Amino acid sequence: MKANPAIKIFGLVIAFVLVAPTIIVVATAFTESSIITFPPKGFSFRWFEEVLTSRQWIEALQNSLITGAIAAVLAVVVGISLAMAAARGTAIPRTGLTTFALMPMLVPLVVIAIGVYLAFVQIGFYGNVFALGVAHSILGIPFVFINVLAALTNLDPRVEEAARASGASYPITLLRITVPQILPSAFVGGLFAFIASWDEVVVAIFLVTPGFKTIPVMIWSQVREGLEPSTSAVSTVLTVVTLVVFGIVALLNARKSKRTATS
Amino acid sequence: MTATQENPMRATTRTIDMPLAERKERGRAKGAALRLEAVRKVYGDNIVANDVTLDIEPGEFVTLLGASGSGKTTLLRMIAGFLEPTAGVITIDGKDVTSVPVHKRKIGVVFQNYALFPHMNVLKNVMFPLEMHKVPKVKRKELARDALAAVKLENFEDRMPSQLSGGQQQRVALARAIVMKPRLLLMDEPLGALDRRLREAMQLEILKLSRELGLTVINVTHDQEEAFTMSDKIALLADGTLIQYDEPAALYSAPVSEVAAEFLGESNRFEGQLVHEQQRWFVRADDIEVELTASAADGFAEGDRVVAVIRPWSISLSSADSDEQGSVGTVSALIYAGESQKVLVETPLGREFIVRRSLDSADEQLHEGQLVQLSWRPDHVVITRPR
Repeated sequence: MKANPAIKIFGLVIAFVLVAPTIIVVATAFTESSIITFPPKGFSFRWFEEVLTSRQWIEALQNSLITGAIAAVLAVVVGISLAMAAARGTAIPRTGLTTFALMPMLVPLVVIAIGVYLAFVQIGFYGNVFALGVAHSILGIPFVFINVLAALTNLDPRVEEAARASGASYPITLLRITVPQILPSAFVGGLFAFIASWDEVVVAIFLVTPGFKTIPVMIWSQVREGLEPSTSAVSTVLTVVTLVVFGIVALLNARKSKRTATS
Repeated sequence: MTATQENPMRATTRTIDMPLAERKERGRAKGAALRLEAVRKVYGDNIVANDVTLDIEPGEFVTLLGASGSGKTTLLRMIAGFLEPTAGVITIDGKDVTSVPVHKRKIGVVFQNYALFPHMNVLKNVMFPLEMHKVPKVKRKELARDALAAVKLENFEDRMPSQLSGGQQQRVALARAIVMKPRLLLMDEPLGALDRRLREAMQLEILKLSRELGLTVINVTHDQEEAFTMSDKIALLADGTLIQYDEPAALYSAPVSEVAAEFLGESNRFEGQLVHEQQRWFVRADDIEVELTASAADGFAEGDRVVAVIRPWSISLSSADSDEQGSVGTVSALIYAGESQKVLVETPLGREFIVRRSLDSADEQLHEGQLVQLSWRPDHVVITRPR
């Protein structure tokens, strides 16, 4: 079907509006001058060099990566459990569990942040990757939950019955037959959970200390002090990591659809 | 089993044509005896199994036959242990297993949609039951390979289920079901998803395999042809109730009710009164009189309301003149169906007959609108009670 030229132009404009800020930020990261200007003056990697040799930035990068990984792993474990309970359990009604699991998406972020802050400060659990990882895992749970629940719903219950008839008890069936089948979906959910943590500022701001910062928090505080091309360079790194993760997701989905197409 | 003993999965003795009694004598019926006693399953107001009592002998191939919603799958699922009956007792070899969970029943189950483990290759699929039953690791591969050889899938060990055709997947499912050498094999419409030719080939193979292993098999299907081809006995179910449980031939020639007659293939049925005149028996309806033999009338009394059943194959057609005696009608449709021809004949009083003729027979060609004479032998008429 051929699209109407007007629709095409409209689409291009929208796409440009969406992508433009990213292009501007990335472009300014390669400037030679020491202030952010657009279009950038000249071309150099000096700001990347500065960022990647700065101990502060490297530490923030490490903090962000570890926090994201912890958040993703926790979100996968909790998300799978909740999805299993929603799909297979009978104790709690499915709609109730679904609402509960999707809550982090519905509740305003700042409310979650304050809640987590109040609770964690009480017990002195803040200013490290574990505290922030736990807090961020809350935000990642809905991604894992939705993905895994969809996968569980599409599973053929007869496959589990076949395992039972083969002599496997119910727990063994879950472990050996059900979980391996939903693992790819859980992994994709985990990647989303990582991203959710990777660029998160609001909750992070409440839990950071001067000695413990993540990249988005560093960018935030630096922007408040004054714009520098190094901020653009860090933002570019942040964006590239996100794009790579989404690339992995897309690759996994492509492989999955190819596999289902051949069967 | 010792290593020198013959592997039953590789047995070559022809047992497929052997009647059950002979199979038993030759020790080929090693399967389990199964008994259902007044088994009942109720969902709310819906009775899906209505006090079904069935006795299945070791080595018997029994088909649960019925339309969808007849309760045949529910019954199978209770035998397997996926469902617990509301009431009644299920025994395997005399042992009450009614509330034994499925994984402790030592049965093989084959599902319509194969239900292979999608994340395991063929060999691992077949080895899974061995692992679950704690068969020593060193023996697992060999046993799994024997099972795969039995279903003629030797060179597919490393394939994933998604790389197999439907027929191949069903063979893997079958191998997985028999690898533990269960004595009871349950099959839930195992061939329903296969095309006709493959289905017929698989019917024969499953039959052969189950006979060679001496398995007791419970097969669920709605396909009466499959039921007649494969079964020692057929349990005909309708609305959760067991209508008739008998050998296929008996079921066909002596349906106990109109429901049974109706389900077991096309039939021409005439409801009327049973009359006995001059040593001859008739079913008399408003527009037709059907003669039957005395033995067919056995168990009925003169004056009973009965239904006479004549199978489409039992009627022969010949061209007729309008003034001819007996049943005369007009050919209203000619339908070609595989190797046979279906002829619909309408009588002047508006009754429709279904007649089947073999295509390669020397019978004369018919055309629509032709006047024909219908005839059949009285010993091809059976009677049954109206619904």
